[in-house]
Amino acid sequence: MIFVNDKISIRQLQILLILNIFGTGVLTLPRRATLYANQDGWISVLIAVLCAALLSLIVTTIANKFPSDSFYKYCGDLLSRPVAFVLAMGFVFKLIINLALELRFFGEVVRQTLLETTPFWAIALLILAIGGYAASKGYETRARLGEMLFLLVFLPIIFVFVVASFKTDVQNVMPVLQTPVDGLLRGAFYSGMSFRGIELCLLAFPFLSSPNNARKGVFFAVLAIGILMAIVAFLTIAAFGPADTEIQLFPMLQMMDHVEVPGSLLERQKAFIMSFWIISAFFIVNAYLFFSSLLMKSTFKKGTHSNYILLCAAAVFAVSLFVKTLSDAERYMELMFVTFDLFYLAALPILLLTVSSFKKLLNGGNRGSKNG
Amino acid sequence: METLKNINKDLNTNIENIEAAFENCGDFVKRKFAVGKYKELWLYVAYFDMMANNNFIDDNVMKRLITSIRLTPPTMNEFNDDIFEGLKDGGISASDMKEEVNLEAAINSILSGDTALFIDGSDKAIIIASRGFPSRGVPSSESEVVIRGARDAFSEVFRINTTLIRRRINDTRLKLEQSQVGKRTKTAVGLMYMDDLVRPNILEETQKRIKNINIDAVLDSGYIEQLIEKSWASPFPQAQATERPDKVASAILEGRIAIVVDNTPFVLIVPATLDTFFQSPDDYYQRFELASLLRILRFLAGFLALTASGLYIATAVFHPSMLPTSLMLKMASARMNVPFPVVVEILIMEAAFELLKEAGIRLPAPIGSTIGIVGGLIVGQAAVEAGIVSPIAVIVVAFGGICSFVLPSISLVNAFRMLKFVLIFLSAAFGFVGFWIGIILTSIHLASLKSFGIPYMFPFVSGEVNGYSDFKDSIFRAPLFKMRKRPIFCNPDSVNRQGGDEK
Repeated sequence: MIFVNDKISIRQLQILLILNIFGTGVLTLPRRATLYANQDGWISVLIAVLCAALLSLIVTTIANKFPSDSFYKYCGDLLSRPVAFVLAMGFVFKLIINLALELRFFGEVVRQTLLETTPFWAIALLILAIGGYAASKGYETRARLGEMLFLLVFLPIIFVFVVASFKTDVQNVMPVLQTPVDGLLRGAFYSGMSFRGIELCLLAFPFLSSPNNARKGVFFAVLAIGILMAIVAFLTIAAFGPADTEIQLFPMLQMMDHVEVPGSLLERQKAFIMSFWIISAFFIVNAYLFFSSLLMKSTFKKGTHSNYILLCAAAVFAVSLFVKTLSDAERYMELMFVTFDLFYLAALPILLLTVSSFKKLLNGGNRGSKNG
Repeated sequence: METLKNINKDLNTNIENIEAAFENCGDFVKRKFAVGKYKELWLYVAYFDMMANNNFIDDNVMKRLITSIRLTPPTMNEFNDDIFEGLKDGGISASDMKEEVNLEAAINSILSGDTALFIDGSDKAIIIASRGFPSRGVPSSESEVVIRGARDAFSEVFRINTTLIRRRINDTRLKLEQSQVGKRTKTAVGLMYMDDLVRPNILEETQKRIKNINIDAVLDSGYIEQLIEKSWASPFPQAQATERPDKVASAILEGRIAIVVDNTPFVLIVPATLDTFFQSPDDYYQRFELASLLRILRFLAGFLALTASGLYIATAVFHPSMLPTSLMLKMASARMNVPFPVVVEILIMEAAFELLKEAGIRLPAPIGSTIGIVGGLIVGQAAVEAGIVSPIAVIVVAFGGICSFVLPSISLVNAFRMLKFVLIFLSAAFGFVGFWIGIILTSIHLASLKSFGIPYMFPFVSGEVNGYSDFKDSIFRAPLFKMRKRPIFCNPDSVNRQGGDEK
């Protein structure tokens, strides 16, 4: 914040979280939701938002119990050191694979909209280089960067969607709630992919200046960005209809292209709006690189943070080159979601919370018996 | 020069030491003379010609000692044993005097324009403040001109500069800590601050950094600025340099520290944030609506000064379809006969613009303005007609240049001037992706930058620390009566500057 290095405020944490969640899934979110829930896709997104907000409470509760400890340390205290080691390395693996897949997506979007002839590896190297540079500057710099660029990401996108809202046809989302419950839930489940990033709170608490207020802050941040994403999904479905939304690779991009701003200097603003997308993608890259290198440093307790960033970036780059097509990337993403992502987002926090409560109960009981 | 120690009781030994130290110094003035009716006492006076006020020494030292002292009691015999005190109290009519026992310190005083008086039989010298070197008085501001506001500016004389500040703040809590920096130049450096408003940790840090300077010469405040910066590789200035006393006084009243350096009209202010470089003194002397409008304009101009050329390259080369068809066709037809790619065309224009700017500065003022007309109009027109550059490129580069002149701080303009080329190359290589990568890189750097512990991008980042009140003096300038709190720079115990809580 100020004078103190590497401490951030709750507001800064909220901004980083919002940027991460928004960047992760909003491009494909409307398609994923309509795939299972048709015109009720936006309701699926809302269900996903509620679940994500609740999960954020569990994640922050466990992190708040060990506000100054690293992930490796408190997992070690609760589940033993070897298990903590496996969990930390699993987390690093998850972050590297997720980032490689996100990078593949990002590279493809950039190639489709901005740089048709530039090879993927060049785009990937470029974004990894600046992401790594930002990660090397530490959490405090990342938080300040979030504050600086937050409006630059959101204002143009919100502006486009406000203009787009006049071109939508509400009939496309009617009738409401015609999708069977299992369809709605499946839609919600896969929409939940967009909320990867909440689990990073498990690692962020030692950097907070006032961790006690973080639970409420994270909860409301997830709720706010979730509702914005539900609105995006609603407007996209309303603009194209569920059938068209379902078959488009990046429906949100189509939406941007669709919009004509009256009296604007720009005629096709997709390229311009996509530029802001680059900032959003940059935040994911720097967050994942920062946390994966942080985890490695706190686990191995050797070397500098920057060495690990270089190592992680190289791994991400190599993995991203192995993913040949976008459909492969999406398949792997879903696979990662049902395995690693859900484990670190839901199963592990619940397990840690249970073990911690159990240990507390046990210690309380022991103390009680001693006192008695 | 071997280390000189204490002043000797024997006058001739002192004279030998002094004259050895000032050997071959043609401007060194010294005189050994006797005082008293019967030449009872020998004295030795030493100073530098024109560094000291010769008339003052003649009237208040020499005349008094050689002539007047004989006419009024006590006589030399009546001084008894304490000749030194007798001369000090009754022999010299100057208000600012001090005793010195160390010969090296006495020499340093002579070097800085004071006069030293050595007395036979005394191991102390009298140092008389007699500085009177020529100066150009109080000039007008040349690099920070305002329409409304004071016209005076700092000059090269340390004491005039500190006086201009003290004249504006008649408060005993305004402190001036003086020291000498530079082993050879022994340049006077002063820290001026409000005792109760300054943050103690910032003051301590500033004192420490100045104390740690170990250099032979300090010829300008630019030396100090570069030597106390932590992020030395950054293109962005981390201290604000100004020649306006009102700007310095206002900064001191906000809890910031002014570093006054002898021989330069530029005073440094620390800490500095990016926001402070967009502020001009007349923002506060005019109505807040106009001031706010000008602030918005400056921020916009700053952004365009940095990005205009890069944006043009990204749009013209990579994404022309973004532009309305008619504009795109006009641009294409204007470029039809130009043999160079857009990036080369822009680089040619930027280079020409930089050359014109430099030529304008170096040339004498009357010819300088001609360079603008000849270079800008005639050569520009000829280049367009010859088909070397397109009119659009001339417009873009000139527009960026005009935007840079809107900014009140030349140091910030220089930072943008350098970064502009990074954006040009990135935009030429990767279009909008490159452009935004350039912006992100600049933002990462700015976000990581701190000036004496204060984030450089405050209040746009970490604004909550001060309850967001600093936003009242950033992109907008709130009405004066609404700006109740002092900015982040000041001591948290004295934040109120209006109302009953004001200290």
